[in-house]
Amino acid sequence: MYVAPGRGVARVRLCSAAARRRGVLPGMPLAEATALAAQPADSQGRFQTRMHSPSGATAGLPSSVVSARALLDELAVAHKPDSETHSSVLHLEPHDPVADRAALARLATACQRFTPTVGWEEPPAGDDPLASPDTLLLDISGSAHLFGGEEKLARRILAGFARRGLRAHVAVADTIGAAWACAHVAAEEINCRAGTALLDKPAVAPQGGFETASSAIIVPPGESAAALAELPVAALRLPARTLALLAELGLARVEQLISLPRQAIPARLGPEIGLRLDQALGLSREVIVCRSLLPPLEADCSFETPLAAREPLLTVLGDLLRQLTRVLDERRHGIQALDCRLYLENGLVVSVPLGLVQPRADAAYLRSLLELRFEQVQFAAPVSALRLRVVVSAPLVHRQQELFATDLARDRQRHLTELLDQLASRLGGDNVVRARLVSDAQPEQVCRYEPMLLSGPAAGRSTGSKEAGIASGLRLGVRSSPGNDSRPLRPRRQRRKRAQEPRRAAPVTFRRPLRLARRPLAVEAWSVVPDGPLLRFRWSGGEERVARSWGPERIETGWWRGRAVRRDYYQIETATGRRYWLFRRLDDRRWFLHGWFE
Amino acid sequence: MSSHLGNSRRQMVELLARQIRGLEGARQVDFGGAISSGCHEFDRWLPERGFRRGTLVEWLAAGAGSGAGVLALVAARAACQEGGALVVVDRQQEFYPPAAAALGIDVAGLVIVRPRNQRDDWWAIEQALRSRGVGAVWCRCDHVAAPREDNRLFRRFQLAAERGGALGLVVRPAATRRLPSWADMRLWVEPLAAREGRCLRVELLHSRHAATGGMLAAVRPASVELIVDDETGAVRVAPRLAIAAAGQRAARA
Repeated sequence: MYVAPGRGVARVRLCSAAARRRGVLPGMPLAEATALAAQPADSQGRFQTRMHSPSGATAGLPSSVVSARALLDELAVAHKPDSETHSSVLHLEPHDPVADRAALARLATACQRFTPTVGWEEPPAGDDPLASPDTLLLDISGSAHLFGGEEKLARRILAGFARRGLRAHVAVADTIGAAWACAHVAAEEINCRAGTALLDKPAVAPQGGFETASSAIIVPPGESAAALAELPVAALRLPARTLALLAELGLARVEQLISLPRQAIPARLGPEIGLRLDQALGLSREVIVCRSLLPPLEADCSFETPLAAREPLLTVLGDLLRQLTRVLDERRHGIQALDCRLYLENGLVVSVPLGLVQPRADAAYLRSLLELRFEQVQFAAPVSALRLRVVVSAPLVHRQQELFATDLARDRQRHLTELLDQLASRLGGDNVVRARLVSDAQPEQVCRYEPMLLSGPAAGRSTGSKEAGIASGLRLGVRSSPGNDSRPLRPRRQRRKRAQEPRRAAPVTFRRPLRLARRPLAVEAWSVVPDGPLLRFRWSGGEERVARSWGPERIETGWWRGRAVRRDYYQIETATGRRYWLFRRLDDRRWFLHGWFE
Repeated sequence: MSSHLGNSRRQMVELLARQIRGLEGARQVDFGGAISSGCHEFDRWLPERGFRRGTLVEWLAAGAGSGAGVLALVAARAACQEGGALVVVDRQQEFYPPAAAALGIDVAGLVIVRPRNQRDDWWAIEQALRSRGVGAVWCRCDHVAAPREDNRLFRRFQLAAERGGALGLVVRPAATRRLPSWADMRLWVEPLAAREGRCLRVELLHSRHAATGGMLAAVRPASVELIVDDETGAVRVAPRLAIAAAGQRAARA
């Protein structure tokens, strides 16, 4: 039984199947679980429960490969009757997500004998803050034939896990989503119509009380949709909130979701369902983030006398950055994300993250950016130690220099990249954005803002650093469609279906103001007849007389978006020639000023 | 024959203008020819037949909804056509990209900076103007500082623009009209009543090169009326009679 210490109350994190039979459930207070586990056993005898730490992966962790599922929960708790004592023994272990990740990283390393592209899926943020990844993703495109085909490869993977004392569910499919679904759900409902189920006998002696055997499912190419159809909607990796909504609507199977009009899904059920469905069916791109096996790249320095002045601190920072860039330079890599930790004399730790648009290996440049970041940070006490950690590194882009010609466009791009780095360093990445227009009736929702740092050309590739060193657990993997590159996976039907994406760029119209109020401002308005054309309105203490107006342009949003928005917009030109964008709210006939044609 | 004379006269004026510019500001780097405002007649009226890279242009708006921002954005679009990013510094977080898209600006290439305070706002404008990767910087400076502070701030902006080569387009409120200016050009934009389209009167308040190019100061009208097309955003000079008639109608209404 794993226990995650909560605020004040220790709670069960994971428990064995035997413990579940006795009423113990994850999330239950530890005291309650202990009482349940200590109750007399049933007629079959008493129980002894032995716990296996996932950090000792060879001892207890189950796992999965290619498209495999590791039964972490069942493996986490081992349990068997003790014939000698006939007493119930309860073993408790603290939940250690870092150790889980480390164990998963070791398994990922072991799986690199099957394919160089091995990654794992991070659990979605929000549902469970303590969740750890438990699924391995393997891209076996082009490598399956080396092992005699997908079926034999799957068996070898299972055997490899069995030698480590682990059980796994393996699924091979065209897409990550389909493989995940088969590894997690179809393995239990093993009647996957289109797939070939290779049910193995238990790969390891059930000394820990595991009921579920290892298994492998091979979904033939092009049969992902058929394999998914019968599965429950939980197979689509949806958050609990979305699953609850689908349950309320009576949508239980994936085929029911597939039969719905695709255009209506994002608006009525949220964007997550459409995305996951597209990913599973191969209509949307999904990437395996390859986990590197490089050791974490860090540099640190401790001071005998804590430093209060920033200048010597920056000098030391420059030295540490030179150390890091020297190592990266040998790999021809640059730093794209960096975490600088300052350990203060009073025990506090200040973290100063830094992100770049493109990887750089220039220590002086990185120091200048960190200097900008430091301007925004107040240190409550002198700094006693400093540690730099490379969070993301990526290959440097080298281009052949031209002897006579000067490439003005490339030079401009370089200067712009440096400007974006500077702006993001001082103002924060979220304050340096680019706009993306989407088709939406409500003016406030037409623009989506994306940080420029994330949309950089080399963003997203993580290597080295602690991230690679703190993995654990596992679950599935995938096979990409034949003929495709190993990463990213780009299914065959993607191009044809891309046009069906629900949100396209919004059509532009000149009748939109250059300045939009962050919130509509209520104005006092007069017209000759109720609901008639506007004559005058008062705003910010001044009265404006209307000379010309254009409209109404009715804007209504659907009921499924919560509170409906129903407005009649008018472009107003006053007697002085100024132009405003006003609307009348149809619910209560009140007027609001929403923009200025600056 | 007359055409030949006209050409030689124009060349002579250009030559003299270059000499005067050389005497006025030897430090100024030449970043290329003038940038069109999007309207040929308006270019002719401007002191330098358009806007120049590496300079600062102030657009004083007569009030909210006066149209100064649109004219500045049209100039920014022209400045970025030969390369360089368009940076919008938007501290108020009120800039609405669909309007820029309607003017033909590629919104995906637009860099929108949202500083959290006034100090960061000024810093971001200066950094953007200083960068050689930027074609134009568009921003609204609603804050009216003390004359001395304002003077120092815009002097820094001007130097940054001269170094980086970006065209700085600063939209400011009418209250700053009394303040001295370090900008290369200061334009006053006032909306007028019109029968069709959108009519804006533009007045040249200040130019560092008022006598060196474009229409000679002696024959240049004090102001020019522009019509902005409601559908396309195209800018053209308005016939004066139409404006006068519309103004009389508005006065009688």
